[in-house]
Amino acid sequence: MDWIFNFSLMFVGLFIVFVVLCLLIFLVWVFGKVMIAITARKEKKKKKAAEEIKSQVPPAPKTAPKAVPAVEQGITGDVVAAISAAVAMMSEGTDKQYRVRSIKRVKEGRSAWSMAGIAENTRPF
Amino acid sequence: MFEVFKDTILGLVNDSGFMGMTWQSLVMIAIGCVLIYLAIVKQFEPLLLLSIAFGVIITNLPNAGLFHMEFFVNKDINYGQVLHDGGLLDILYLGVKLGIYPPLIFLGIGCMTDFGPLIANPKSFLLGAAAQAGIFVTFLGALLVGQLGLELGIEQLMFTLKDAGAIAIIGGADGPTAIYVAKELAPDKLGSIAIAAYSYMALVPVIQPPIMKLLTTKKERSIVMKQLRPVSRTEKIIFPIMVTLVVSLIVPSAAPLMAMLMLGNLMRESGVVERLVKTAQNELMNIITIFLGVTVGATAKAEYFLSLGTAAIILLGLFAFGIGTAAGVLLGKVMCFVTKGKVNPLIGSAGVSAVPMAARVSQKVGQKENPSNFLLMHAMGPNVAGVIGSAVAAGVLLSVLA
Repeated sequence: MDWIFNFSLMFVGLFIVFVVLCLLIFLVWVFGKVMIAITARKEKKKKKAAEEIKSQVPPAPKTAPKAVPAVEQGITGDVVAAISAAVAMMSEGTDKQYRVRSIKRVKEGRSAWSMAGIAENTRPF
Repeated sequence: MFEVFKDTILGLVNDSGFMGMTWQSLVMIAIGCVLIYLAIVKQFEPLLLLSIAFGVIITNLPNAGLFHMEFFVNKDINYGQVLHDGGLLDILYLGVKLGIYPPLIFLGIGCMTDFGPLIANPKSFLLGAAAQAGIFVTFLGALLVGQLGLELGIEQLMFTLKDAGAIAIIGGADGPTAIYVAKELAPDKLGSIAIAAYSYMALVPVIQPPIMKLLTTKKERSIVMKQLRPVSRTEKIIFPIMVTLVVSLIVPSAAPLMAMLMLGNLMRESGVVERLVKTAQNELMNIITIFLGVTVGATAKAEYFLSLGTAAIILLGLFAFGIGTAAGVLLGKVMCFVTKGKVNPLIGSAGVSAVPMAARVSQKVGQKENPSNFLLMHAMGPNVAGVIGSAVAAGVLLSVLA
């Protein structure tokens, strides 16, 4: 048995595995850096645009009355609070701010089951 | 009339399996029953082990002729003979012999794998590579056993270069890869190699922790790693394409496994072929698993399986798992030292593939030292890197030895 060949085969095999995976490390690392840079630039642009809009809009007069959402009759205060909290949560961590203008009941249409059926049958293959 | 009755009964008795039963067949049937017990009661990789075990039983039924190993032992298969004289298992085995099932299993695995942790921390690739040392060190070990067999004149231990390559791949801890390599390099040892590979994969939670604890200090095991960065969808989509191109161009023999693994992953990450992803990871994978299990089990015929060679393969497989785990943990220690304690060496052991069992073991051992430590996502990086690493190692072995 040629042990020199066997040993070299072992080292060459391990070496190739390391080379391939090191090459992948490099490519993934470079690609990751590029993606991070692109995302950071996009975020920066968004922030800048938001700041510009903010500076263009004149500040609201201090005496202006607070906007109160128009709530349909029969909707309790608890429901209004829950909807407002959900909206506030949506705007958390973003530059956008939302205001609840009105709360109305959705008109009764198709049931959830019939909507699901329509979606299933009309979904393209 | 009585004579006819007697002759018919005698004929039936002579043709029955009882007349052809040998002690070897009985031992193999007993082994099959033990494997079924392990699959059902101990839940050792039941999805595959159950059908492998049943394959072991039915292939060793005397006079049944369910599987003809002799059709496939030679390099050039007589396909006409397989189709004409072969039965169901012979025809299903063509999927193993032609290398169809393992890549299809990889397609399903790709659909189920999230490479996010690996993309977020690409250094994990190093741990996946280090764990492949188990394959190459065992390759030398198998050759040493072969040399020993030669000197002692024990034919069953005289492992050739090809045999050594096929046995060593057990260290990759990846069933489909092991089968893919063994069917090419040592088809007569496929049954033993597959059974050893799947058994040890199931035994990862037993084999790895003592080695991990032996090679690390309490302080190292308690290291809490920094949270991984979020990975964008674009990165996840480009990753499978990039890996396929790089690996297939450097090691073309690994292309079938790698390409199918990454196709599955691309399908998953693209988000536009949800139906295909569901099929690949459920129905297709289940069908292939049944075919693969029962046919691989069928290769474990008494005349090929019951030998000192199988015992040596089982021991070498354990050795391969141990070396792979140790190499991963040791490189983890080096990374821990270089990064001044930012890497927990326990995640290195997950580099031996065996997804996701090995990563879970890292998490469990780490949490034992520090209950607030969550290493699972960090360990998933080396774990999936190990799948890529073992496919590359398989490609290297095939291109050099086949």
